[in-house]
Amino acid sequence: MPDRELPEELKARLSAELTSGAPLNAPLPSQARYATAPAAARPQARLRGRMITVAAAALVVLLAAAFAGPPQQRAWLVRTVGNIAGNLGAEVNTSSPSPGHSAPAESNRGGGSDDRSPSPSTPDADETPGAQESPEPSESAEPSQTPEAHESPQPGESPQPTESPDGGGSSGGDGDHSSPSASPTPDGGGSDDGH
Amino acid sequence: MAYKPGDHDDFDRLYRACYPRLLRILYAITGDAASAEDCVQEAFVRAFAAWPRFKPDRPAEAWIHQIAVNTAISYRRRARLRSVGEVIRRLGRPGAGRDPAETASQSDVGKALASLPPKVAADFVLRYVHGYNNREIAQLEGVSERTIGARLSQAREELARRLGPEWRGELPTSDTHSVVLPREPRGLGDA
Repeated sequence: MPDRELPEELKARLSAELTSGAPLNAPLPSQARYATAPAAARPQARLRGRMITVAAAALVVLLAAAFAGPPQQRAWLVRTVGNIAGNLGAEVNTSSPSPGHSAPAESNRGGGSDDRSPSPSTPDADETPGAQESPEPSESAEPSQTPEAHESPQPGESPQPTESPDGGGSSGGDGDHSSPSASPTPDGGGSDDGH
Repeated sequence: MAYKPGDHDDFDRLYRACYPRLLRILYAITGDAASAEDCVQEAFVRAFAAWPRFKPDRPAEAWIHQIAVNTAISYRRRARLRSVGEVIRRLGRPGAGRDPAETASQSDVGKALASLPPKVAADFVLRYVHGYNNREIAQLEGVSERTIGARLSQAREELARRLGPEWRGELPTSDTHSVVLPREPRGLGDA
């Protein structure tokens, strides 16, 4: 297929049409869009840099408060970090046994964070019938109550688990539920030990 | 002409060297001066963003040419979608027709060029306005010379159908070709 050539007058007409149709009023490179756009085209990099700077500054402030600040701030920082770690650990602990208690775990999650305190009571309600059915209630209730007593009041009532029989009796509704089941436990444990 | 990737001055040089050619090519593709200018600027914005990553294993002019043609193709596709949406929106109502200002500003040649496929129009302008030969266009676009020859033939046929048989062209004689760039003798009868 031969490559044909356009007549010169057609080339001139074509060139004139394109030149008149798109007149060359090219802005200077400094006025071109790419030269003015970088300020808007680089916000991601700038934002990332700012975030890194702010994070580094916050880290420095925290470290300074933790190691060089007054003891009150240091104690507050340690307590805060401990609380956050404790909350995270509690969430991990509550989420890990969920395969065994999938339905209660989901219902507790649906209830929100305020429902965490009743959540230990629901296993009690589940287990008290179990304690009535079998002759092993003392063994089944005993380990279930002690971790509950450890888990729920852990941040504020850490000394209570040692006094759990007494504190359980003096406390509110939970104590009412636990006291009958807890009172046989020493007996049951003693009888088991005796056997 | 060598360009250093990432160098701002070199990119400015590339802009000054390629802007006029790209504007005419994109005018031929879009058929509208404002759209052509918009597309050229947009192409340079894209190219500038990728300029630090540009690999100089191919000419920078070819690289920016490809970006510009792709930008124009995207523009035409969006414009076509807009027009289809407009037709659907006005379904059942009296049509508004084309913008009279746009119709008046566009010549017959401009309309005929804009009706060509984008790459065909770009090759036609490169060949018959800027004086590149088929081999140079093929190198610029990274395709075979045969492809370029086929596109030029398609463009001539379409323009001859719309504007007159003289646009079908004539077989080249020994010295009828006026080119800006130096060409090799075997480029005359290729494809």
